[in-house]
Amino acid sequence: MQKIINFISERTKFHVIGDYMKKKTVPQHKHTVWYYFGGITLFLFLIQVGTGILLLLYYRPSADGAFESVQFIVTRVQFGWLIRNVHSWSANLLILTLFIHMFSAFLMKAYRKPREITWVSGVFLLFISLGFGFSGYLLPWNELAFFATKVGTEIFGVIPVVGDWMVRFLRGGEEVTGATLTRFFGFHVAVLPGMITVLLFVHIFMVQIHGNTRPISLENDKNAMPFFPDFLLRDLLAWMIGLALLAFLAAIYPWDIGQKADPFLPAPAGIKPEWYFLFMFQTLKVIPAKILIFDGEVIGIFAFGLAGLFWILVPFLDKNASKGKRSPVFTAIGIIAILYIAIITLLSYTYFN
Amino acid sequence: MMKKITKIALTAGVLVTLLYFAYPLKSFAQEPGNNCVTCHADLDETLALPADQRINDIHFTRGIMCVDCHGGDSQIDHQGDFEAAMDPQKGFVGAISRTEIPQFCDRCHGNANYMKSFNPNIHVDQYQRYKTSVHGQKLAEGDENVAVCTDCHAIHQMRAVNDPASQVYPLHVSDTCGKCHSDDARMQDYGIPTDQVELYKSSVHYEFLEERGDLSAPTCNDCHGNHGAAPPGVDNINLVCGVCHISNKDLFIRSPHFQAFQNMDMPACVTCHSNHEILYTGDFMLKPDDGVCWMCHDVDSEQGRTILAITSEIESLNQLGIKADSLISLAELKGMEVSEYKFELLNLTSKLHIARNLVHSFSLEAIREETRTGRELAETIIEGGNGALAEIGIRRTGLLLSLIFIFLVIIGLYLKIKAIPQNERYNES
Repeated sequence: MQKIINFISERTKFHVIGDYMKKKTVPQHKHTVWYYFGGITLFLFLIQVGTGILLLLYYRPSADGAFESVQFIVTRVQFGWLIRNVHSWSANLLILTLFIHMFSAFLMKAYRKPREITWVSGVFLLFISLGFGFSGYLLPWNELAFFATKVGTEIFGVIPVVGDWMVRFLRGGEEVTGATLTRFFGFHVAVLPGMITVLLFVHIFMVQIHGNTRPISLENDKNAMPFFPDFLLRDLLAWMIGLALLAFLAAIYPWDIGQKADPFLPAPAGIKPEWYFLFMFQTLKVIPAKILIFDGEVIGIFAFGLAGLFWILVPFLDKNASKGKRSPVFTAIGIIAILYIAIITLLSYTYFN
Repeated sequence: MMKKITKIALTAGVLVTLLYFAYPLKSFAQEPGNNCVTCHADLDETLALPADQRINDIHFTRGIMCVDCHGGDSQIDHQGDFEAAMDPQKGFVGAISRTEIPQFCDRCHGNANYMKSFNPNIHVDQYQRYKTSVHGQKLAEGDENVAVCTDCHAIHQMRAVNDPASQVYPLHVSDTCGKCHSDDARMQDYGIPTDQVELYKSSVHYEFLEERGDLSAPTCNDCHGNHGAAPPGVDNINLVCGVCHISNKDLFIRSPHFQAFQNMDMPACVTCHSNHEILYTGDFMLKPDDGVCWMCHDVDSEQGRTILAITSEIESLNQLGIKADSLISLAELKGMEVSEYKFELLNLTSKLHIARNLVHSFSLEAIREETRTGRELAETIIEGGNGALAEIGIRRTGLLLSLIFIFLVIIGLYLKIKAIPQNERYNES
């Protein structure tokens, strides 16, 4: 065994990575627990890749075959039900842990110098992950997915100038049809995976270069644990807990395949997108139709666009953090954002339902 | 100053007086070229009704005015000589007598050339049909108590048949017929019951029409006819019901009951299902306690045994269907994908409907064949449902085993973490 390792090491120099990993440390303090969420998100992403590849063996990306192929996978393919349910649940858990990871990094000001690129790549990873969620949701081609996609893509139409073009680009036509399904499938299995691979590599590479940040208030605390094996073992433990949760959810709460999409039927009452888009969807619904002379929806889209831009540029806007000083304003912004998202999402299922 | 004001006031007064006489104030119901309305609108309640009601009248909306029916001269204004407006020399006929109404309406409604200008598809044989009806025959004998056109269609506020406010719109037909046919005093000389509308309103037909909004559900005229209204004869009741219930009619005609009923002068469908109070059917109609078969057949007779066998076949298939449905529902509730079996349940329900419908053939063999295929289907569904429930158990067992394995790994990792000396801390590199 050692001979094989030596053979490969001599030719690939991978021992350099091993040597680095042995010296790598992870800060240890009262907020260390948040460091695990990046790893959990990565773990769930790997599960998505694995289960996605397995689903790809049977899935048919056409309006005639998509729903039936999912039905086939769930009823006829051995453990198809498990793979499909794990894929569906893992997608939702991934977005959840991604939000937790992102907001914990935000509140710890992990975006401050020299980790700006890590943050920016992370924000784009969020956008791509949401894109995965949006495109993947349509693929079963059931009633809910069809109308959620119809409503979701329609929102782009309010963007001035490029709105109509964006809608036609996303849908592959004027309406949501089989062409939309094929297009979304292409995004989901080719375009977005390509993009995420590059960005993930950049993101993880930057984390390796700069290591995990400490909160500004604990910068003088030098306690740290070795990455290997201390942090890695704990990370693996978190992964196993995540895996147990995933197995439980997939077996006990399987996802319904629903009714096959029928474009000629009216949208079901109360159609709404998946939970991670709800806060945006609900915000657009509660904005008045007209604000002064402007269309309310346009203002809403514009505001979210600005919010997204702000989020990307946070490392460059938070001057205090980049100087290593406390930044209560940005902390408040982060807390407000978390509360807003959580409350609006909760209200979407209760008060606004 | 005062002189000036007086001059202005006098001039205004003269002008107003001239205007008053030059342009007489017309009543609110003024209508150019139709002073009938102008005059009648100013009269008392009864005589004002035609003027008030005309707005919704289909004749009025199609440009047919008062004089087109009643004659006279509508150009003479109300301050003129109204006797001249109602001069018989000018064709004035006044109110049409009841006995003359059908023929009167037929002047236009029986004229195909005239009617096609309003609606190319409208029937023009209403009067001919009316003459064949009981109403028409009795009217010809001089009985003015019977219905004429205006009793059903209203007088001055006639609406199109498809107008929801019309007296002859499907939802209102039973009440329109009931105005006479539920009137005990009016019907006492004819020897016919007056509970038809009441019975009809407890029927399944009325429920579909009124509560479910199904305008294709039958009301009085669908069975009795409109203008040629007559009770269907004993020989042809199945033809009346069979207009909608085609399959039942065909099966019944080919069954031994058809000739037997005719021989005994028993109305086909009505004997078992009633005529006005047609209720929901069900397997209870075959059962010994209150089933309809036992009005004629004994339980111990050959026919009685056949009926019991038919009942048993249908009941057993029904029970299997209930079992299959509850199994599939349970499996679906527990998260299993059972849409294929749900589709098969629809087929099973269809087989049960066919089996029940075959009761009208009174053929045990035909029913047995249908229930046999139904049972096979039910057993397939039940097997699938049991399989789905068993699969749930397998999955949960698999989950338990995998969770045990994962927890063992978690415990192993935890112990390994604990084994690492915790007091050694490294400064950041």
